[in-house]
Amino acid sequence: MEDNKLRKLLKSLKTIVIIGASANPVKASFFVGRYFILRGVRIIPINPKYEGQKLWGEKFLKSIQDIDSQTNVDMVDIFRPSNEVYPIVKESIKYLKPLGCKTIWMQIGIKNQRAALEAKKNDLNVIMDECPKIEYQRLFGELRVAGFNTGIISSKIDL
Amino acid sequence: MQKRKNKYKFDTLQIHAGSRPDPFTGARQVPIYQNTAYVFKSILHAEALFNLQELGHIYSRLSNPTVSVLQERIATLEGGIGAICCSSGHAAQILSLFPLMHPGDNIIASSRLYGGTIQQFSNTIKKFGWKANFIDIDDFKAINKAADSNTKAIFCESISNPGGHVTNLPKVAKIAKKLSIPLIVDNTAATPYLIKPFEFGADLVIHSTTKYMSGNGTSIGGALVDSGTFNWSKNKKFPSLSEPEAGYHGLRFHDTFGPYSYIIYGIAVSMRDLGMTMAPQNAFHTLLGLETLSLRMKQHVNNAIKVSKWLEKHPLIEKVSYAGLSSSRYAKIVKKIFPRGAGALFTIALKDGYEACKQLVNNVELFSHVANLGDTRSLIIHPASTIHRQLTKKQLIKADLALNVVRLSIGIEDPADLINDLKQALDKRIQN
Repeated sequence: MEDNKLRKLLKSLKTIVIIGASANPVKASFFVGRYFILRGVRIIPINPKYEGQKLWGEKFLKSIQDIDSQTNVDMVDIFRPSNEVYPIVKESIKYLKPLGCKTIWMQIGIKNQRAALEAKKNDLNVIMDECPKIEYQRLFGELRVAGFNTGIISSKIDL
Repeated sequence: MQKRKNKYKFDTLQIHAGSRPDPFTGARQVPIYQNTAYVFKSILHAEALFNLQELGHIYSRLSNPTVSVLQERIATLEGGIGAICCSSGHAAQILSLFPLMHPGDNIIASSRLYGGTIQQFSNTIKKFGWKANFIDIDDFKAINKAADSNTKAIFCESISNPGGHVTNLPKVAKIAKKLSIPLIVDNTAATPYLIKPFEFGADLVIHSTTKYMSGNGTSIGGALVDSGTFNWSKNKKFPSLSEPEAGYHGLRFHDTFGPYSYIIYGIAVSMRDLGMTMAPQNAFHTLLGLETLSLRMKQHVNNAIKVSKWLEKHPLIEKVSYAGLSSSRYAKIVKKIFPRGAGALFTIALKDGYEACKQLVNNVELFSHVANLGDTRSLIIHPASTIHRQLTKKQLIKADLALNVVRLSIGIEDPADLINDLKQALDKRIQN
């Protein structure tokens, strides 16, 4: 996705469903969730392993189907192995697209072309093999602090 | 992770990458942030920074806004994921090894590395319980033979200092891959303008930014660049990155940060505890130099070709060891991986031995007799008595540095003036 479009997408997020969310504070999914919580985004954690427990004031749910039908959802962020992604995307299309979901995001190392095709057929944005936290940090200046190659070149004061 | 594509070319990136107009003042040139500590927005923010959950400046030992610009610029020019700048090229060497090594571990290193590096690798690193096995980097069988279960990296230079040898990076990278260890390339003498080692399979690149990058002979500095492509969790070889880190509550760097883990470890652990920080003023001078890197490298290479060709025909010269000459045994590999030239650093052997070297060094008027290279000025030195003084006779032979060898670092002056200076200095020997 083009940087300007991605900037708009990331700024518009109000609710993210994290599939494979972890309550372990040193896991990547915890880092991502907490990062967006601090930016005012609601995180709905999905992980049958923690069912019934709470994270950031939200109950861990067993599956996508357990999300309340009154909830607005903007994005699904997947922390599961590539070969488990297809049914997750199918479920997201069925249950979360009606709730407003526009984007399927697969984390670094996670790729599934069949699932991506299915999501695109249903007019969903698909981002694979990237991290929304790192992309947010890249596009809004934070990654630059640590000497990472952001690919951002601009002669403008305001980005 | 998707490979970061950049629509701009090298000449543009060397000026723009990593920097933007200052958001507070509109200043177009990179400000020098001569500053130690950075205000936290809240306790929550401070906590997130210390937990590595957010990235931000904390204290200039770890990061500084001026240095960050240089880091991103070098990372971009090399085509890496990120970079850390540090106090010197020697610091960059230790910084590159620190996340990989534990007591009892070893590396395989080229026997033709810069003398200072050979020194650091043969003696100093032993105090950490590390060891270097030196091999002829052109002897691919020897590389394989030198590896054991505690070998954690292969270390070489793209263009060796001072011999002007070049490394067959595609071949050596293949061996490293087979051994499941990273290939670290010191790219100081070539710069990313002449070669990007990542394109040929290297995993990590280091620099002495003191040399061509700054070009102006003002500032000591080093850089470590990560390709972001090495899998640190493939086996248990790199526990610092793949296993729980006690200092960060059991965080596994590679598991949590993926391709960003090596650089984040470098800042959060190596820079925190080794403190080999680059000063912001030095980063600024280096950035000024970098803006003209490609222009200078073209002139360095053109001059080196002219001067070396002239020297090759001189009756007092026994041999010119420059990979940019068609007579070089590296001519074929240079054509393949160094299409823009083989740098401007080489050695000459004089027929009349050490005495002739002494006279040449004493008689030049334009070449400066200094222990540096990659300056805009042309430089000359006799390695065996100076920069390679600590090497044993055996090490000198392996490095191709007999007593009759002089190193030249060709600058960007007018090439005719450089030839005339060498001519008058050599003529004095003929006249005597």
